[in-house]
Amino acid sequence: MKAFEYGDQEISSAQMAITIASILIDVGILTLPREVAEVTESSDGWISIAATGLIAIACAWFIGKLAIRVGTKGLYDYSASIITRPLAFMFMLGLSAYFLLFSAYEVRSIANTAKQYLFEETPAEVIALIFLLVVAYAVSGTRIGLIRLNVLFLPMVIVIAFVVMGLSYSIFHLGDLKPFFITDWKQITNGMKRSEYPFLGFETVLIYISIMNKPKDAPKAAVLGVVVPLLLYLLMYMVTVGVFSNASLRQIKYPTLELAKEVHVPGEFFERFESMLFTIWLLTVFNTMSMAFDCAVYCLSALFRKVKRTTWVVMLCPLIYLICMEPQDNVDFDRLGRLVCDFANVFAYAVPILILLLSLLRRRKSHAP
Amino acid sequence: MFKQLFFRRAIARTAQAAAAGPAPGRPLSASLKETLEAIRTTLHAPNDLIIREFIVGSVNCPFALVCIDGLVDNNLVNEQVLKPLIHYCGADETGSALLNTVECEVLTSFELDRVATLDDSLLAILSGDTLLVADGAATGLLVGSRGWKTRALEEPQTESIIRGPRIGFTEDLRTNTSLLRRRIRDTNLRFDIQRIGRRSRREVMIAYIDDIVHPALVPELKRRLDTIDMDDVEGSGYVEQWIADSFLTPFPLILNTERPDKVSGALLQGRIAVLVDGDPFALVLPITLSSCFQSPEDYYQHWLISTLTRILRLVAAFMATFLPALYISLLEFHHGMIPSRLAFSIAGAREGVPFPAVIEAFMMEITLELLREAGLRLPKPIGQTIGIVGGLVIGEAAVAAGIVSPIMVIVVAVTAISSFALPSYSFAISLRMLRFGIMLAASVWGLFGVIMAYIMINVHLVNLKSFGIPYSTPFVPFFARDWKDLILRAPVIFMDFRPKLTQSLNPVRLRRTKKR
Amino acid sequence: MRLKPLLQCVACCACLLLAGCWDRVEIDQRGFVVGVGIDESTDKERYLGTYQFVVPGGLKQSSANSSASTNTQAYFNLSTTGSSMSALSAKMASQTSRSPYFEHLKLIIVSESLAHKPEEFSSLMDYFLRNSEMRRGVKVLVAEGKAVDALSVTPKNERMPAAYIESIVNNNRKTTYMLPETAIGQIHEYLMRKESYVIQRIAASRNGLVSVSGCAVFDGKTNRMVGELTGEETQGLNLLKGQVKGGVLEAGEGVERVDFLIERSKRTIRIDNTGDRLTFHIHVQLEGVIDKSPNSINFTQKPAVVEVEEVLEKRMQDICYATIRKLQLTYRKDVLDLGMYLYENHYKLWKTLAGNWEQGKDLFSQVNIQVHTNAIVRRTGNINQSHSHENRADVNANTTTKKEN
Repeated sequence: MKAFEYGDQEISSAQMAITIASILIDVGILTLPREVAEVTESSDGWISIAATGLIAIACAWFIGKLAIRVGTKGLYDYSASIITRPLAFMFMLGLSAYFLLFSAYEVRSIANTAKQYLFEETPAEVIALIFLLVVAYAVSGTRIGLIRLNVLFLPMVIVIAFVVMGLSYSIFHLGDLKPFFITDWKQITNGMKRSEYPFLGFETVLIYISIMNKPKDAPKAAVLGVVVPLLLYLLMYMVTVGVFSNASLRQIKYPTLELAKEVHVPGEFFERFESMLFTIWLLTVFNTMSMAFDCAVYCLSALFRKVKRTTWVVMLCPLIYLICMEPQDNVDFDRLGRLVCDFANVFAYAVPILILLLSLLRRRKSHAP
Repeated sequence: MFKQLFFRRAIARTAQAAAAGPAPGRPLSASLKETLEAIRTTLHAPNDLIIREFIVGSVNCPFALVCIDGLVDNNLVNEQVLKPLIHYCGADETGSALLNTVECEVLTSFELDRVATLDDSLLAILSGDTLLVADGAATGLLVGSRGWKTRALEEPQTESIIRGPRIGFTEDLRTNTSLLRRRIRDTNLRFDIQRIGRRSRREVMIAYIDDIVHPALVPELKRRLDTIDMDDVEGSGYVEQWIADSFLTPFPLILNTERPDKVSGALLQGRIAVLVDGDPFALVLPITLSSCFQSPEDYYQHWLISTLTRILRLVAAFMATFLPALYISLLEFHHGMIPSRLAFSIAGAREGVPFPAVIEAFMMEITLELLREAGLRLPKPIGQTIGIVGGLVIGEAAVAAGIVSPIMVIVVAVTAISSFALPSYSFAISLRMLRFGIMLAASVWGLFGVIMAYIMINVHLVNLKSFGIPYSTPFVPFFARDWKDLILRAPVIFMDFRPKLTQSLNPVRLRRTKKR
Repeated sequence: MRLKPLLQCVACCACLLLAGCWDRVEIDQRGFVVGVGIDESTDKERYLGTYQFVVPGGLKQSSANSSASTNTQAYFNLSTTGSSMSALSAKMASQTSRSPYFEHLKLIIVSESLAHKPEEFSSLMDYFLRNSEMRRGVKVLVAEGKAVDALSVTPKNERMPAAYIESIVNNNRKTTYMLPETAIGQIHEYLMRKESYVIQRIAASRNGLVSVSGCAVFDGKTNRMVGELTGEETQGLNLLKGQVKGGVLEAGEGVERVDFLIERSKRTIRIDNTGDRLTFHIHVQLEGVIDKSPNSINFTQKPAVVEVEEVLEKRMQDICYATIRKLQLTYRKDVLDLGMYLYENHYKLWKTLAGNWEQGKDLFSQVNIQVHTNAIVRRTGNINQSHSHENRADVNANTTTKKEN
C-alpha cells in the first residue's frame, strides 16, 4: 500500500539529545573504571573523566554550531563549499572509515564480552555475526526509525544502570574512596587519554541535523547529550571504586559487570544479575552501532549518490565483519580502540572544527533554514 | 515466454471485462414492456422476482412493480405502495407526468428516489428496494422497502465487559448507523457510502466527524478503498487486509470491534470507522500500539483501577511473549541466574524427564494451540469441558508420565492466561506468533537470542506506520499529552485533549470552566 | 529467477540455527559444586581438592517423603589430587558424570597447613578470582586441620554441609567471636594492596558439627598464615574495627557477672602525632541491652547503671588490649586497619611510613594505641530486678513509704 505521509519525519531537539546520549553510552562504560583506575590513584579518576567530559562538551558545542551551518544542505556539500570538493571527499571518506572502525570495535567488544559472560562454547564469530545481522536489519529500515529506537531503549538502560548502582549500596565502602586528590597531573592526563573512547559519538549531530525540525537547538542538544553520559560515567566510577577499591579495580577486566555480579537483589529473585545487565546493555550497544553504521552509509551515499541504501548495507556488512575479526588478542583489540580514537580526533573533531573556523573566517552565510 | 506473459495480461483483461457485467448507464426504456423484459432477461427470471403489473389512474396507465421476495417488507409494499396506487383514480395524466403525481401525491412511503438507468434499478432491486415503472416514463421510482430478517441486538461475545452498554453491532448496516447516531448527535458526523465488490456490490460506510478528523485522512482512506477491485468483500476482514499499510507485519494496523461505544469513542478521538454491510465488526483506523492495550471498560471504572489494570495488561503482554523463551534460556543456558535453591529443585524435578527443555516447551505450546483451536470449534458446553480436560487432565497426566516437568506446565498455563488477559484479540494472536519465533531464538542463543529477537521486533515496530502515523506512537515519537491515556488513565477531568497522534483539527474536548 | 538467492539466504540462515545451540546444557546435566576444600596432598601432587556436589534428586526426594529414605543424600564429596586448581577440575571431570559447574559455589575452605606456606594462598585464590563462573561473593575460610573434615560433617538440620557452613558464616550478628564473612572479592583487595588481613576460621568438632570462631592472620607481603586469634581475641578485633553487629559481652564473675547484648557499635580513630611516638586513640562505643544483671541490681537508680557500664567498659578495654598486644608483639601484623586509616585520612604521613609499617623498622609494633571505651545500657529487658536483696519487712516498709510519698 502506498504510504501516506502526515506523520512526523523530523526529530525534535530532545530526541537528538537522547540519540547522542544513547550513542555515547556503549561498551566504553564497561571497561572505563578499570582503564582510568589503572593510571590514577584512589578515587581521583573522576577528575580525569570530568576533564575529558568538559572537553567533550566544548567540542560538542562547536560541532553543534557547525551543524547549524550545515543545515539541510548536507555535510558533503557544505564542506565542499568551504574546503573545496576534493578535500571534502577525503574528509567524508575518512569520516565513513571512522564510523566503520567504530562499528567494528563495538561488535568485537560485544563478542568478547558475551563470550566471557553469557556463553561458554558459542564461537565469538557467531555472536558477532548475529549482532551484525540484526544491526544491518535495523539500518536497512528508515533512518528516523533508528532515532526512535534510541528513544525507546535509552530509558531502560539508564534505569538498569541506576538499579545496579543503587543495589550495590550494601557492598559500598565510603572509605575506599579516600584519600582524595593524591594523583599528580601526569597521571590525570593519562587518565584523560584513556577515557576518550566513551565520549565519542556526538559528531553524528552533523549528519542528523538535516532531519531536525529546530536546527538552531543543535548545540544545546549535543551538549545535553554529552552531559547525561558524563554524569553516568562519574557515578559508575565512584561506585566501582567504592565497591572494589582502586587496588583490585585495576585488575578487574569488566568492573561494571562484576559490580552487577555482586549486587544482592532483594528477595533473592535473581542471583547473577550481570547476565540481566549485559542483555539490557546490548540494547544501547545496538543503538550505538546502528547509528554509527547508518552514519557510515550516509557519508558514503553522499559521495556516491547512485548507489542505493540497501546496497551499501549489504556491501559494508562483510567489511565490518572482517575488520572486527582482525584483532587476534586483547592487545590487538586495544590497538583497534586507539585507532578508533585517533580517527575520531582527526576526522570527527579536528577537521569539523577547522571547517567551522574557516567558515567563520570567510563569513559565509549559513544555509540553515 | 514473454509472449505468454503479454497474452496472459490481455486475456485477463478481456476476462475481466466479461465478468464486469453490462456497461453502466443503459437507460430505462420508456416502454414498460421493454423495461420489464430487460429486467427479466438480465436477472434470468429468478422465481423470487416479483413483477406486479397494474393500472393506475383514470387513464389506465400501466404500471409495474418489481421487487425481490424475501428482501422486501411485504407489508410496506402492499400497504404503502400498492394500495394507494390501486385506489388512486384521479388525474388524467400519463407517462412521466403521472409518475410525478404518484411520487408527490399518492405514495405514502417516505423513502422515494428517482432512477434513470437499468443498472441502478437492478442494483436497487437486488438490494431490497421496490421499482415502480410506468409506461411512457423513462425514469422509474424506487421505494425503499428493505425488510429482511436481522439479528436482535445482543452483547458482543468476544468483547464482553463488566460495566458498560451491552449492545453490539449487527450485520445490518442501517442498524449499525443508527447505533452510532444514538451515541453521537453531532451535526458533523458524516457517513460516506461506497459500494465495493464487483459482484457483491456491498455497501461500505465510512464514519467520521468532520471538524475533528485530520482533513487528509478521509481522502486517503477513500483512495485506498477505491483500489479494491474484487468480486466480493466478504467481510470487514477483507477490507482491513487490503487497506492496511503492510500485509507482512503480524501486528494489527487496524482495529476491529463489535462495540458501538468503542467506535464512537474512537470517532471522538479523531479516528475513522469503516462499517461493512453484512459484518458486525467495524474497523477503526488509524491505530497505534497503545490501542492494543485499551479497553472501553477502562473509561467506565475508576482511574486507579484502570491504571493498575493497564499495567497488568502490559505485564501480561510481556509474559505472553517472553515467558516460555525466558524459561528455555534460564534452564538451558544460564543456570547461574536462578537462585541456588530453585536451581537445585528444578534440576531435581527434571531428573527423569526425557526431553530437553526446548523440545518440552515447543511440545507444550503446540499442544496448547491445538486445544485452543479445538475449543473454538466445538459447541459451547463441550468447549468448556475441553478447556478443563485439556488444562487439568492432560497436563497432570503428562507430568505424571514424566514426559514434561511440572514447571513447564505452569509456564505454559501462565502464558496462555496472560494472552487471554489482553483486550485486543488481534494483538493477542500476533503475540502468539511472535512467541514461537522468540522461543526459537532463545533455544539457539539463550538470553542473547531473546534480546536480539526483542531488538528485531522493536526495529519492525518502529518502522511500521498505520495510515501515516508511526505505530509506536505515543511511546516514540513521544507525545507527553497522550501518556495521560496510555498506561495511566488520568481522571476524567484531566483528559481534556484528544490524542495528539490523530492530529485532529479540534483538539479540545473537555473544559473545566465551571466549578465542580 | 528470484528463487535461487532466496533459497541461498534461507540455507545460510538455517545453517546458523542448525549448527547452533553450542551452549545448550540441560540443567540436570550440571554438576553443581557448592563447596571446595583444598588440602595438602600426601602424594606427589600438590593439592588434594574436595568438591562437594549437589545431588538434586536427593534434595527433592527428601522433601516428598521425609521418613522413607534418609540415606539418599543431597550431596556427595569427591576428592582428587592435582597440581593446580584447573588440573583438579579437569581430573574431576573425568571422574563424575556431570562436569563441575561453579556458578553456585558458596564456600572455599583452605587447610591451615597449606595456608602456612608462602604464596600458596594467593595462587589458590587466583583460580577462583579469574574463572568467570565464580562470583566475588564466595566465602573463604581457613580450616583448623583438614578442609575435607569440615566438608564431611553431618549437620542435623541442613541437607548439605556447605549450606550448613554457609548459614553459620553469616551469623556474626549473633556472636562477636567470629569475623564478618570474608568474601573472595575482599581478599582480592587485600592481596592487591599487600596489607595483612584476617580470614574466618572453621574447626570441625567431634560430634559432626563445625564451629566458626576465631580467625587466621595472614601476612600481606608473603600471603602466608602467620597465626591465629582465639575467639576472645577476635572479639577484641571486632570491637577495635567497629565490626560488631550483635553478640554478647560478658563481664564480671560469679554472681556479679553481667551479660550485655550488643545492638550497635561505633568506632572512631584519631591520631596524635606530637611527641616521639605516633599514638592512635581508638574510641569504641557499644549500645545494648542487659541480658543478665549482676546480682540483680536496681536499674532505676542511675549510679547502678553507671557502675554496670563501667564494668563493661573495663572488660572491653581488657579484651582490646589483649588483642592489640597479640597483634603488635606476637605477630607484628596490622590487621586492625590502622595503616588503611592512615592511607585514607593522612596520606602524606602514610607515605613516609608505608615502607616500614610492617617490614623494615616494624613501625606498627611500636605505635602507641590507646583504647577509650564507652558502653551505654539502653534498656534492661522485661524486668528490673529478678530477685530482691532486702528482707520482707524492709520491702513492706519501703513500699509503704512510697505510698505515703
